[in-house]
Amino acid sequence: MGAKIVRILLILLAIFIMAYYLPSFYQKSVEKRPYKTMIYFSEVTHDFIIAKESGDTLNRQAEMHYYDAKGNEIPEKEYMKLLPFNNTRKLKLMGEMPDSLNGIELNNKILKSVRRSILIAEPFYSLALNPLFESQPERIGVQLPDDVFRINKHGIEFLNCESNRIEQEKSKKFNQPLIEKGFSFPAKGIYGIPSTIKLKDDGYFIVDNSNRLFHLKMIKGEPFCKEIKFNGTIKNIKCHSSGDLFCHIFDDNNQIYVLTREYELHKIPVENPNGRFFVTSNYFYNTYKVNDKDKSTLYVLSPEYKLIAKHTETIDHYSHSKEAEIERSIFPFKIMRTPGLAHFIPIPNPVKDFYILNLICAGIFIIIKLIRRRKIWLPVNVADFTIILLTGIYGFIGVWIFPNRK
Amino acid sequence: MLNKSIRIIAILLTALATCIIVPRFFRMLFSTHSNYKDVVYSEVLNDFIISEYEYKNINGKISGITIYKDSKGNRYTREQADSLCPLNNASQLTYDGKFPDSICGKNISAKDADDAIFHMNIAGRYNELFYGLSELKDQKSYLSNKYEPKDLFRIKENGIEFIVSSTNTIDEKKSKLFNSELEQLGFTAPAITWWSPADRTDFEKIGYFVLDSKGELFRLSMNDGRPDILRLNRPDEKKIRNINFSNRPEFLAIIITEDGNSYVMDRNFNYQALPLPSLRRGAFLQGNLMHLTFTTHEKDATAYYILDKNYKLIKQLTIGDKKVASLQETIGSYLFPVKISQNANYGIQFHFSNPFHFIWLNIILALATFFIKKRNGYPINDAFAIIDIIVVLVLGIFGMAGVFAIPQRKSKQI
Amino acid sequence: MIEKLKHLIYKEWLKTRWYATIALLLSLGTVIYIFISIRSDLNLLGAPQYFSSLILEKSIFFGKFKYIPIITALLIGLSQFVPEVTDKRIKLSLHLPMENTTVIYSMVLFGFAIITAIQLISVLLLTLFMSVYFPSEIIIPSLQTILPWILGGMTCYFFIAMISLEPIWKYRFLYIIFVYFVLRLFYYSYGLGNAVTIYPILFIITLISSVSVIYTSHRFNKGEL
Repeated sequence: MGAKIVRILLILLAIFIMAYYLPSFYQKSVEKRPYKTMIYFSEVTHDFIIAKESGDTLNRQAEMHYYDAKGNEIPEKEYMKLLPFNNTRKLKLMGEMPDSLNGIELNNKILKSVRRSILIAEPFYSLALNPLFESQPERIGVQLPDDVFRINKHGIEFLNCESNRIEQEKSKKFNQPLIEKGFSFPAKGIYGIPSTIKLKDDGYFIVDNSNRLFHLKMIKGEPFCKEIKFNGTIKNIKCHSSGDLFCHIFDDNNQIYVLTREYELHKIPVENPNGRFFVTSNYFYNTYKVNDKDKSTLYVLSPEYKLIAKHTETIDHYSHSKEAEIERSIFPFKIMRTPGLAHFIPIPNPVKDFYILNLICAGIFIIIKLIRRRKIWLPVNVADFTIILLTGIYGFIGVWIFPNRK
Repeated sequence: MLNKSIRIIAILLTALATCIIVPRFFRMLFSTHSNYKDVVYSEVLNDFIISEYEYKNINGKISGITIYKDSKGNRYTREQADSLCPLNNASQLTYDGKFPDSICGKNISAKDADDAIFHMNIAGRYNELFYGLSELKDQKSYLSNKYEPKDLFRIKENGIEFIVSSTNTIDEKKSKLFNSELEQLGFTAPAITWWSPADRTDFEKIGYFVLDSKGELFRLSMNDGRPDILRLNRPDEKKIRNINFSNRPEFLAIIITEDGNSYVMDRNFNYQALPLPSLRRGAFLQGNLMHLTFTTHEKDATAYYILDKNYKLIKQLTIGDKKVASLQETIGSYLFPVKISQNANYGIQFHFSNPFHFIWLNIILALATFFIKKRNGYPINDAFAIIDIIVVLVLGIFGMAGVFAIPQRKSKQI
Repeated sequence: MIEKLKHLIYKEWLKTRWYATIALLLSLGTVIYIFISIRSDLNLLGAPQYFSSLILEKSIFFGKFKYIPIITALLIGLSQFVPEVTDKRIKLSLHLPMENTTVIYSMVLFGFAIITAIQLISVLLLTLFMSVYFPSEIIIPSLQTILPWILGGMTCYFFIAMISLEPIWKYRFLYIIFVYFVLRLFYYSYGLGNAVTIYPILFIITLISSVSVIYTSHRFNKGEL
């Protein structure tokens, strides 16, 4: 009896393993590179430009075609001239780089102020220790301090790296302003840039135990602490080392806010279910691109973060290809692992795709059992049949790997 | 007889392995103090400012601070050292509000001084890890994405071959076109190696410098699909060893010839000799608005050469590396008869310790080997047993590890 | 009953004692090596720089310990079960007046106890060494990262027992491939501290593997040898 139960458990484990490895193996074997579709917003025409790839990606015969917002195709040179910030080097070599745009001179400072980054709403695991840099040092640049700090239920504690001991004086000095401002220990999250590869330090943004947001810095050795009013629950904060923003703040619903260096909080009118944003900001516009499976949407915002325009394009995606259809008709479900925080996610397929294969597998199972003259009404065979009917190819392989021993 | 000879070889190999591993592990047990040293030329002082770590023993705790001094030994504070080298510290001096109005009689803005600072590594030999397969970009690449190369080239005995990436076949037409041009210019296949500039625009405009099998230098590039190949002069008709490209507008590359001489090449492919000693082992170049500093490492010393922007030698300084026998090295010389080290410049080297140090331990170990063997019933009188003991006597710890790691048959059973 | 168990355990001990000793020395040696290399890196880089690279890159400084649990499992598992199945010597154990499953499962539990003891000692020593240099904010994520490796070692041991007792070579080969893919789940580079959310699955897999030997040894109950 015990052995029968163990057998079922092993079959379930085998189904789990196969659902994890087989679909991705299939996808890797047959997947073709999907066509690239890029949406841009021209600072010259104040309208959208779309670049679409077509052709045969396998033989690298694919070509990019460029279209304006009305759908007319434009030549490549025109496309480069309409996007001067993206094609600065080439336009300069061609001699087509404009000296000024919209009445603003395009000097080096403006051209170098282009920022591109990827924002991810899901927080990555980070050690709860961070170095607190001196914000106004005597020498330019950022120096690594001798200690790191943590904020636990006892308050803020500075730990000397060399001796692995708490520096009581400094910890008390920094605890004072936090307690005065009503900080509730321990901290839920400490966000900043803990690296010395930045021009100046902006301190850390800390979420306390009651979801209030504080800004902590060290100025000439003394603590600077300021509360920032925020409505909502903060999930993650991505800090920036340059530009006019301190950081992007994500709340529980994947809604983004920006905090400027004047402590102004702006809500970004962008919707995104999957929490990934591609941000480009230059002197004229801030753009946020959101890719959701088969749709790509570009939101264009003014420098004051007001929505100016948005545009959606359908993009080529593996799940629409013929190969993915075949995959859905073979595998009833697949299990994927998320990057970052490790999770296994089961992804089911709609039954209408795979029930045929399931029935075939169950049928083959019965036929083989009959040929070998086994009694198909035994409970163990009925159980096997049910498993194959439900899990299709996985169950079929599973019951043969772990056969019922006579 | 054969077994025993093989055993000796196995012992020696084991000794070699322990000789490589054990000193490395031993070194990890000790803390070392880093010997940081940097030398900057001060145009104000017309002398060198040397900065290095100095370790002081304060209340039993060893702490290091950076000290600044000139070649005569005068000490300076950090702020004074900054002001003495304004071209290198322009941004810090501006931050402090101390940037001078003029330097050496010239009016210079802090931004110009800052923009002119660069570092460049000058490698003495070309990269051994060279696949011989490269992309040739068209000079017209900036016009359109159509010019993206779809192939890679190699230059072997049949001349240049362009291999189309997606099909893994040779583009015969293109290869023939380039080959006929190369032949006309006197190119002798195969190519020894080729170099390319690091800067993107330079790379598109210039292409590659190719060295053919006779040592002649060619510039290989492509203009709108047609070959654009030049035969270049060699500096003083010498054999070229390595070419280092820069991304500065003042010069294109620094070339090192087989005899160690170095030349700077400008953007018109003209050479000028550099007044430097042999750069076969490479050097490091730092530049600012007014001069260039070349740093070379000799066996036990570091040499600094200051050149002006016309490549004339202004000043030079050689500093011997501090050789302080640390505790680790002393103990090591008693324990290890020999140490093996390997690096790219000098190859494999054997360092033998002072025999009078390690002989004591070796004698003790040899006696121990003798007694252990006798006690456990191994033969001690025949030639191979004596060889074992000699190995321990000479190779010390390593020999003993070898002798006892490789098993041996006991005295013949009767 | 207890007497018979005692004899059985003693037989197992005789089989595995040298290999268990080697596994213990290997584990402790690795932990000591990790300690010395932390100390050496702290000296070379300076403590603030070392902490900074830990915080920024979340580098796994104890990486040499990654496959030690699997090596331990192989040493003890193979030394226990390979003698049993060569020449079908297991017949002798099974002639003891005890139920077959009890006999085999006691052997498995014995091996499991030895492996757990070795891992426990190593991890305790490693924690002790880490606490000399690091605060708990570094030690706890490190231990959380090590746990999947240890679970992987235990799973590997249980599956060695299962595969050894499998009579048919075709299925042995299949199960070896199967176990390889299962163990891969334990040894992904999850990053420091990230693996916590995957613990439930790993624990379930380890539990399933712990009873898997019952499936292959079932045939002995039926009288086949």
